[in-house]
Amino acid sequence: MASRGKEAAVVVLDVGPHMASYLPALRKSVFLLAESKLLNHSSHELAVVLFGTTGTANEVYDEMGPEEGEQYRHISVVQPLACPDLKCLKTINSISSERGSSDHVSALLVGVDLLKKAVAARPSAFKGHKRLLLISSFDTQVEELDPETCTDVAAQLTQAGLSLEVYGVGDGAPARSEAAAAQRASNLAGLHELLAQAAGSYRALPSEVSMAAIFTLKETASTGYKASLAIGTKCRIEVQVYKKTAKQPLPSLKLYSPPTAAGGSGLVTRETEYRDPTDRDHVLAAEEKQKGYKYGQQLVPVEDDALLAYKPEPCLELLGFTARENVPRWHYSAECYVALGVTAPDALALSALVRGLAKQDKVAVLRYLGTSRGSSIMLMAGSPQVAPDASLLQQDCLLLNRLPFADDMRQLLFKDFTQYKADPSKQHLYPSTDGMKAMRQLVKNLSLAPATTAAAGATQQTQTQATQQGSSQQPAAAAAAAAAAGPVREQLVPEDTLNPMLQRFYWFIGQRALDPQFQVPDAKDDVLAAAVLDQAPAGSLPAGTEQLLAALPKHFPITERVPAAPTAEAGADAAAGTSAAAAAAGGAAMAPAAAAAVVADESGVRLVSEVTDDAPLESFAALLQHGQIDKAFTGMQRVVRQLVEASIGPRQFPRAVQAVTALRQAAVQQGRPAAFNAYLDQLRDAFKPNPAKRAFWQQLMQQQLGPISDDEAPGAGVSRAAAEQYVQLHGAAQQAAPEPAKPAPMAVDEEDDEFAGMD
Amino acid sequence: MADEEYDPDALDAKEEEDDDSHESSKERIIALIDADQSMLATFEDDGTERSYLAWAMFLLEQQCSARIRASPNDEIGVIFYSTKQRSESDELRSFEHVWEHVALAPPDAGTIRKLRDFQEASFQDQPGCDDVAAAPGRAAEDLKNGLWACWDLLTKGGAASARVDKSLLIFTNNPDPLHDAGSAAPHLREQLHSRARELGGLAVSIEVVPLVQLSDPAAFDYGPFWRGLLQEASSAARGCEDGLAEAGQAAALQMDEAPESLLAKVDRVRGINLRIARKRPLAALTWSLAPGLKIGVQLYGMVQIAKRPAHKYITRDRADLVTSSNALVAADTGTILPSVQHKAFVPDKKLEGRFDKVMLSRAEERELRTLRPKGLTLLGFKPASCLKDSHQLGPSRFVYPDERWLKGSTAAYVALYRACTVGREEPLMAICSYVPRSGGMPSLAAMLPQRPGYETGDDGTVQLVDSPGFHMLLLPFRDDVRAPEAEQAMLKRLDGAPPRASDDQVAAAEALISALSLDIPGEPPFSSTLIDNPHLARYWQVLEDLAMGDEPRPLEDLEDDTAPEAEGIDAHDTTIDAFKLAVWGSTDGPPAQKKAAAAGTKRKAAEVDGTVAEEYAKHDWRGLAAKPGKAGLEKLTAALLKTYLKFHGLAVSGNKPELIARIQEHVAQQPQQQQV
Repeated sequence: MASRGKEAAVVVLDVGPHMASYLPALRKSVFLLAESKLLNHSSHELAVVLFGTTGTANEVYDEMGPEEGEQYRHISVVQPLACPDLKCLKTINSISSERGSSDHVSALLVGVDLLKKAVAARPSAFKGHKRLLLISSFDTQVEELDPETCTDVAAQLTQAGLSLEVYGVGDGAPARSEAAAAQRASNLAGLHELLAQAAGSYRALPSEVSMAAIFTLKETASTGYKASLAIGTKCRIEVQVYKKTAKQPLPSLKLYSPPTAAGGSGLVTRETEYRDPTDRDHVLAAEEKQKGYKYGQQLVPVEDDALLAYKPEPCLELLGFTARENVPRWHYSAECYVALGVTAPDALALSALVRGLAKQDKVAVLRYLGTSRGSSIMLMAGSPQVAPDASLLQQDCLLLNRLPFADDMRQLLFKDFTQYKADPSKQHLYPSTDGMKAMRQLVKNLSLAPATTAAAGATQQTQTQATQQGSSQQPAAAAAAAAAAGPVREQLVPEDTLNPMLQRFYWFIGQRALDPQFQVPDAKDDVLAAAVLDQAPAGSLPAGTEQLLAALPKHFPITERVPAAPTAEAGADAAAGTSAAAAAAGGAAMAPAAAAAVVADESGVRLVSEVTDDAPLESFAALLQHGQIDKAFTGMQRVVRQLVEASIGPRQFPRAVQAVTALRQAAVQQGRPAAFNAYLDQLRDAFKPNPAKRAFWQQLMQQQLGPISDDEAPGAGVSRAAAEQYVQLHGAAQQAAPEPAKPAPMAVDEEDDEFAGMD
Repeated sequence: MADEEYDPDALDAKEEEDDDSHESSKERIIALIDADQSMLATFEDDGTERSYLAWAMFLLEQQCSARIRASPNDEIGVIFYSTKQRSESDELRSFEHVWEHVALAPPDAGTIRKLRDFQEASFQDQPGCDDVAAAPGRAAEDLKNGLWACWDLLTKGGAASARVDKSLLIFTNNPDPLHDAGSAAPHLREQLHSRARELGGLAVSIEVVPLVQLSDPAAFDYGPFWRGLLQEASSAARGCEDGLAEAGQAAALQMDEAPESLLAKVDRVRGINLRIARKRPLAALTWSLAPGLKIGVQLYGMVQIAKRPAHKYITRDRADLVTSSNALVAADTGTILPSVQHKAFVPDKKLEGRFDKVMLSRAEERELRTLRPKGLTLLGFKPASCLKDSHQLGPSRFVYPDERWLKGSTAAYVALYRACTVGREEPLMAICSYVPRSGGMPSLAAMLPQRPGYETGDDGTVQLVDSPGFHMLLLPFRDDVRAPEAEQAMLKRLDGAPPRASDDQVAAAEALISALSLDIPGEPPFSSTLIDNPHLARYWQVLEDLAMGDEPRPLEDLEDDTAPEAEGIDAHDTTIDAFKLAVWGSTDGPPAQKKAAAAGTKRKAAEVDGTVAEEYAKHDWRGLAAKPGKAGLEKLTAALLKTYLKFHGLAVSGNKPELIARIQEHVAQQPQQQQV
């Protein structure tokens, strides 16, 4: 949950010997918590208290002395309450299991003491949330939490304004021993008693995945926009509209080029220059250009953007109510918003409306125009979200989802494959009876939610309830039961599932900040990604799933075919072979991007249908390989001209020369010398007289890319001598003309050097 | 070039848009119009009487206008056959009795004007309507020339034109051009069929639009002539299926299907159903159902938010499109870099000393971002009710099996679909992981099955309106979800527990909901998809006027169908009052609102008394406002500017220039004596 103001969090982590196997995962979570505070909530403060440490380092022990403070031994404050920094991250990184005994209640009290003192020292600093995160397996012998102590601790927590988050490591997984299980049960009972008296929550962390990814990386405080929900002109309910969902992006990376001088930032900016289309050398000043909009191919100058805008007053107006089936779920087309009543009477009116809608299974249709700049009118479906009766923390609210306009719809119609069975010509597209049976079984075995969720789903629960109270109590049981007859509770609930890419990204950034040699972790080893993005391993699924999965490909044979190329193999070979060759010949720079243009998909299917600008050599070779000679030649000829014509300065010339080289070579091999020679003349006519493009022609001649002679390929119609003369004549003439004084070879070398770095 | 290199950052930033911008492809449409005398007959619709020729021009004008909006790269040409004269253009000079009215090109304001200004009288002068009845076999001969000319135009551009969708609309009222050909008929028929086959081989979709049917459906029968011609074309199109783009296959299929009603066809000609006609996938990827079972699917965007096109920069003097070039510039030295091989995470300035810059190579970045390969992976199944209305991030995608390159995909897809729907009152949805492209952000997606929907038309024909299949909806992660409805700070505002409406109050709301229902028995159900986006409508309205060189129409001309019918709603005042009475105990409005507002004012006043007033007093606002630029208000920070606004209880939103403008406006309104 997002919180405002400066938050203070005290992590109290068990590092006793029994925690050894859990610590790598837990360390990751705590590390990411600190990093997210550091990068995304820089004013938040964090303290780390370890218990079960071999040594002792805490103020409570120091103050009470070794005798009285005996129970506070083996507790170490490794990070005092402060805004985390790299040093703090380093400290967390070095957490490892130690040999002390673990007393979570004492550790908790050290945490409370630490926070109290910090607040006392800076009373005005902590206006936000105060959290104490207690993480342990709770399965070692600890003095029992007697009711008196419990009440006392609860009072202390409440007094300090702390909310206690307890994380039960390994709860739900098989226990180390019976004794440990009993110990855990007793300890947790005590803690639940405590939680009943103080604000807080409990969450079990049964698996490595749950331990390695406990926290979100960024919590966005909700900002609301005021609106009044108008029902006609005579009834207004004042509401605040908030975002309910928003895609959390990855931290942005900037272009970087290691600085040449000390103290440089190394940052690279992308700058855009606008030039006159008729005079490429003329960079346009701001007042020489203006905004225009395309009307078809026509560019219409528009002085004042506002002229094109339609901007009525911000509003949230009711059009009416409609049955839910009239707004299909797939019509929702943007992020979700939520409207809440501003004051208690507004909230009450909204509550009545929301509950009325829920009862009638209807939605409100609303016209919404937000107050923020750039917002435009939207039609919204206002659907009810009724707060569960048991929750005193949640309001009834109206969820707002954008509905599509006529302009947004593409009414695409596809064949009704449910009719294929009856159509003899389509039957091969229809599954066999056995195939159907297997698929049904698969659907059953891969169930991610209990079938009865339909009923439970009616009461809309939000994440807070789901994670903090209800479901978190027995998630452990769920995993175990999943193997038997479908899961007890819903798996992969959006509100409970962390984005593995975000965790991975932050983890890397944080680790690399500490150690510049830190390597990108192997994606295969990412436990969270495996849990969230991969099909569960057959072993964890109901019995028989393994055989079922194995048999499935037999029921549904899939054969690959490539439309534009004769065979898949040939296509794949050609594309792979040539890109390797090109990489070897032309430098590695263009290989990855170029290959991507040819490769349609990871599955090994290559679609090459024409010579492409971005990967001319590869696609040209692929087409030749497929026997599409004409297409290859015409395409390559087109690309060469395009490259030269579109080149800014001489940047693309080397690529074009490469392409001509390939074209010439192929012309010799395929016995089409005359066509190449004719094409060469075209190039000469087009580019030799053009001062801006002359360099391209020059380069061709320098590389001896003259006409193909009869010696090279019969039927060329040019003798060897004539071909050589051609190169001399057209190459030399050029160099002589602009700078007669300069010896030609010099110019050649310079040019080559200049281009070497540009490719 | 470095600029074009793989830039995962850029990809991620516009992931959604990127999804929508598939390979640019366009359509070439030629309207081939019979200019025989008989086309000058008139027909009245909507109180307007026009000749069939003029009707064709009118419909095409609308088509052009729609194309300009929806797909400005499409090309439209208008060709007449059976004219007295022939075109002088290079391309068409060799075709007798063929006249080019609009050259095949992307339509613009000029095209529209040309179609709008069509006059039969001047047309009669040049090129003139031929009278085919005068010469036996002439009608067929002219049609042949027309088809030939179209073939020529459609193949313009050589190999590049192969990727272009092509269609041919033939406007004629002549059901059988061969009827008077006599003994030449078989020969002519074969010639026409060979033309049709040529066109079919190019994957041109051909449609015949007999406008005469509008006045009398019996006046035109496709008969053996047109049916035979279309069949030749469609079988030629199917014959070259192997080398054919999907569009071509679709064209072939379209020709196969039963002739639709002319009205639907006319709608298409007008461009009304423009978006229906184009069926292009946004992406093609694999869907892994089990280890060893990957099917091919295509994603289609049935909902794609239409946005106002972005502006371009043009030169002020000639309105030419400005060419822009990007360069990578080292910020330290100002030198242009040919390529950049690294990226860096740069922490916020305020984190200086707490966190360092993190550098990584492009290759590392790619590796970091690639968590799973591109594609869909089936994870399991849930009842559809697990999908809450708040599990929503962006437009859905329709998922359809792709038989073209992974043969057998359809059968597996159908089996999956049936297993999720058949025999279930509540369908199951499939939960998948989804990686839109290599290096793309992974997410979870719900595959929501859609059952086929059929509608019976007025004429009794049953039409598929909802295709069966899965809609893919992206699910949020915990990182993407917020819960303001359960936030402490929100609850504090409510002075106590969040209110829950009583049964009576809910009943009053239900009465209101029933009274203000949009679902009127006997009328089609409510659908937002019948309402135009007023924002876009205004944009095109003004732009069209400007393109034509006219003054923009006044705003009043805009039809905004999103505006509620306030009068209709107000008419239910008794129900509304009953609702207000039930929830607020009064028909005036929420009771405590005034109190809350008062509290707000007080708080503001309190703030003003404190630091704001102190800061405010430090500046000579009137003096500053009088000075221009940097000497005046501009030298103050935005925060300082806001003290003025706060002090006077004005809005503090907007950027600096807006703040300054607001202050200056306020200062100007104050009497000279106003004092601090």
